[in-house]
Amino acid sequence: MSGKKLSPLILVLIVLAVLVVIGGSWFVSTRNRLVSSQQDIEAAWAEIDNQLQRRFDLIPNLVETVKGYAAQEESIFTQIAEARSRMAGASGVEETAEAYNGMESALSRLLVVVEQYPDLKSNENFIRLQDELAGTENRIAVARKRYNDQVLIFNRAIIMFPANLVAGGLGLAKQDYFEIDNAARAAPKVEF
Amino acid sequence: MKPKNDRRPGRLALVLTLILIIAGSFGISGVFGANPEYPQPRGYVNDFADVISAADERKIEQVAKALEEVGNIELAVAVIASPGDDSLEDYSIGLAEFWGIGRKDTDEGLLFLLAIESREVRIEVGYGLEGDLPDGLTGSILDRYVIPLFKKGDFSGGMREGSLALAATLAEKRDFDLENVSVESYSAAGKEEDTDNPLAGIIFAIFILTFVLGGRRRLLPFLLLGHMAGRSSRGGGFGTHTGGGGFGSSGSGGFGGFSGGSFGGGGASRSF
Repeated sequence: MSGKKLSPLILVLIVLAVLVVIGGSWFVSTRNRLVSSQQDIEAAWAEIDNQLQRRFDLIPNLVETVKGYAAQEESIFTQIAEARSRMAGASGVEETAEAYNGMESALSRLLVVVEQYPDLKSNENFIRLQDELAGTENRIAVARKRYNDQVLIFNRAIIMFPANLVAGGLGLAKQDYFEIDNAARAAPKVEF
Repeated sequence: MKPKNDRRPGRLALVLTLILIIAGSFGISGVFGANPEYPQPRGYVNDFADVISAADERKIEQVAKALEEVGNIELAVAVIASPGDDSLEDYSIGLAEFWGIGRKDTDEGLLFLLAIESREVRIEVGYGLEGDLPDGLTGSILDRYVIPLFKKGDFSGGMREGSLALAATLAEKRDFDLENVSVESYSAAGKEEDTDNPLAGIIFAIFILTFVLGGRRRLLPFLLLGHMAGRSSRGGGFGTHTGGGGFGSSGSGGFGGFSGGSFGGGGASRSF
């Protein structure tokens, strides 16, 4: 053993230094993890947005095709136009989800109307449009699930001790889930 | 500074251990959902319900192998009993991602999935192929080449024709040749019928006329017939043109596993 005993002050300083290093590196890595999780959410949201846009663009095409066979069903076209403009004006996760639900239910009403027009149902162009419609709906479902998974990871991370201290310090708040009304799924499977 | 200082190293160790435990437990708290039990891939053709005949399986394997070697596109064909509690769409993308069909950097993969008991079929299109195979086109491939055979109870034939039509459509769009595989008649999913053979052209014209006169309800059977007539007038279809492996060589020769491709939910489904 060395003859000289460590002075209490030096011991305390060493302990403090070790704590600062550990705490600091923990803080930085936690912060980075939370921020990158937030980025994942943004990327997942961008994909939803992208697919919503695609769906939005398909609708005029669909409406035109249906009008060719069922021009007298004016009320449904008006409903779709209204739902579509609400969709265009929506911002934020909750509002977008709500507008999306409205649009889906208008679309599903349209597809009920279509049932009465066998010529339209067997129209090649209409079948393709219906496939595109079902495709975007499925992509939205996939993008939504991926988004919600990211939100779950993030929301869990920021409430867990001790990362919640870091999240609080950085002002990170819980993110909204993209909730859709499953009953409003518009595109039924094309059936023969 | 207080007299207790000879107990500090013990406390320090305690505090450090606590911090490490907290930090450590935090680091491994990621959330990963468990997969439903997806089967492992066996090859390009994964017939878990014994639906595809040995001969059709060989043909599909040949075309899938050619598609991978020439076009760097991975095609997986699967037959399951039913998707269970999932919708076919959910099961399909889950399976496609689990297998990782398509190269990781290009995401050019396809899953052609039949659920025989629930009578549903789907073509799942990887990110990298969405431009070449938009949902409407995938749906029309199902309508033209797959569903008519399924309706007759020929599931094996439907899976074969669907696979070949997918390969041919991609070969056409990407402008590559699938050696040993005759794909002319599938050009762009039947949109551009091959008319270099006058007989085939005449037969096709007759069918078009019949279709125009006879109403659109009969479109699908006539297109199929016209397509088959076009093939036989050239002296054989896939059955005789697919060369390569002899009849003794079954199994997935050359299948090196799928490569990590991703999917976004593109494609089309049909109930039949």
